Amino acid sequence: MRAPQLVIVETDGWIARLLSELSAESKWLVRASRSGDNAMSLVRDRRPSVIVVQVELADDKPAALTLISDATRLCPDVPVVAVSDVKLNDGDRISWTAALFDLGVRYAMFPPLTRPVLEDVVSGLMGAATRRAGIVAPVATSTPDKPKPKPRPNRAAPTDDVIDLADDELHE
Amino acid sequence: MSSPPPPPSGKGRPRGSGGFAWRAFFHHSTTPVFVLGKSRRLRYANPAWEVLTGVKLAEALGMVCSQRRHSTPLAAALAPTPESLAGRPDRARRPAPPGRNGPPWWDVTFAPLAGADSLFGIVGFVAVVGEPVPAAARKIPPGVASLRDRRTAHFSTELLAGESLASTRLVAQVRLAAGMFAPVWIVGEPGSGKETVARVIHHTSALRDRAFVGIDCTGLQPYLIESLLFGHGGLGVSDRVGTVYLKEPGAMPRDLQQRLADHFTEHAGTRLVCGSERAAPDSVAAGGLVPVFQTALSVFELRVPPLRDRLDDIPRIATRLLNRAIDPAALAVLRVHTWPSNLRELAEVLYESAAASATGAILREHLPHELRVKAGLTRTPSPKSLNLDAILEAVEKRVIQLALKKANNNQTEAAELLGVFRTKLWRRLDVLGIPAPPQPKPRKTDDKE
Repeated sequence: MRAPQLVIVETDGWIARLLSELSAESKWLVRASRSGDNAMSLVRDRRPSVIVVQVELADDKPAALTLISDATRLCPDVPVVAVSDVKLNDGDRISWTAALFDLGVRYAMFPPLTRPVLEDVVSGLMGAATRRAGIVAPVATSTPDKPKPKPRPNRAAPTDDVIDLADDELHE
Repeated sequence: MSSPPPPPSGKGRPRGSGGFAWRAFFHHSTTPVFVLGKSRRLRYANPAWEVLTGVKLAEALGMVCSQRRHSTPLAAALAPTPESLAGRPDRARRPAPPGRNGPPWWDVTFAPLAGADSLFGIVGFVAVVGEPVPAAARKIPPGVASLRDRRTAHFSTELLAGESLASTRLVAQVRLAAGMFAPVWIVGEPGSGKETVARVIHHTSALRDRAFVGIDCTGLQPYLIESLLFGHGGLGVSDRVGTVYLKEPGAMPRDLQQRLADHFTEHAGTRLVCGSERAAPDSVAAGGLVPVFQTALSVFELRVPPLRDRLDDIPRIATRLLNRAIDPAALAVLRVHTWPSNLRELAEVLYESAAASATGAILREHLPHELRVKAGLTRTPSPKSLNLDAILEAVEKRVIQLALKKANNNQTEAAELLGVFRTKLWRRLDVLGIPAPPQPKPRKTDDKE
């Protein structure tokens, strides 16, 4: 039986850093890729449970969008989360969100991004995907005596975790 | 509009036709009509067709109407469907040329004419549906447009078509659903392809120029769904969304269900399609769904058949998924399984088999062991006996043989190694049927010293 697998497609590793704690806690197998071709072969051969793709919202860089479209056509059961670090105005954000959903993503996230929300999205979709595929996550090691972990807050409370690269660029 | 030109005299009146001039008949019709030969070349079109397309018949005569990559938008719009080429009347919704997306759309009806032994020709009728939307509402990121076109081509009814009666019925239901605007409730077993059916409905409906938003209600926390649809800049009120697909809406809290129900009953601009393992009345009766989903949001119920009811479609599905040849013997094995997880399971099996055979056709040997066992191709090994006495005897026999080997068949040394008296070792050799090994000759001692 396969282990839950998370494939992260990004250019500089910041999404993997945001999700590292959750991945370690949940004992997910995490694979990272920087190119669309490698990611597509991972999707085809390894059949991941969830894919997180960093999208560059530029017309001359359609690699991530092509990956999303092809991956969701090839494996409709594998949820894809699109994450962008580009800050957009409301109109463009709605337009891109609709377009990304139309290409098959399950959730699209734009700045300001918060770690808890990203974790909620990925862990929720991972849970649903592994249940559907009949994959048992190897985390059931807790005994009844151990105190249960605190539930994750539903809403993004801490402002320290806000990753707003667009604002960072302004301050530089 | 100017009056149609006079019909060509003396044409379209074959001998023995009783004087009926079919060209003249079509010439005066305001319905755009065209006739294709058996090689899909344009043979005739009436003036209404010329007005609609803006193309003179003389310029278009002989045009091959197909959906190949190099075809013009007009040729693609008039291309007969595979169904009609097979001799059955059919209708297809196409973007009005020269646009690649609608609205407006052309609903093209194809009436095939059978010849003595094959298709003789096709008569087509065009009806325009849908109003053109303002340019602002059509604005989508240009980089996405070509990908959307590819998806639109992919999610056609051809994707669902198959040899079985169940898939034929499914395609007919999908066409019916695509032709109306009512909310649809799709029922099907897990993995049967409910969301794919929802996408096909969206991409063949008049809403296909807008976005399809699929929401996994089991995987996303309620606040994420709420934020997505009703948050700041949410998609719920956006005119860019054509269809919202809710996957298992019963998994949401009832207050969010009610909010969604209120939204979709008030805002008619977006179509709601729900997918679930259970019919809406059953979910409502079980208390998992607010009643408005049954009364107002499941107007058209569509059932997706499980894969075991359309085993005849497996060759077509397998070829489409893998784009590789599959040995008939392997297909026979695939037909034996009952596929409890439906298409999801089939896809998983096919991808694993494809990984097992890097090139060439997929053979029976490349399929998972369990499927081959089920098909009676591999015998399962009989379960080993767990008789404790027999196991202990076997272990004892093995240990004694090992001790004898280490002691160079010297029974006294072997007994010492085993920690038993020599007499007991003799008895056990006898009971266990171990032949008494020849004793080594006593060593000659050199007493010359």
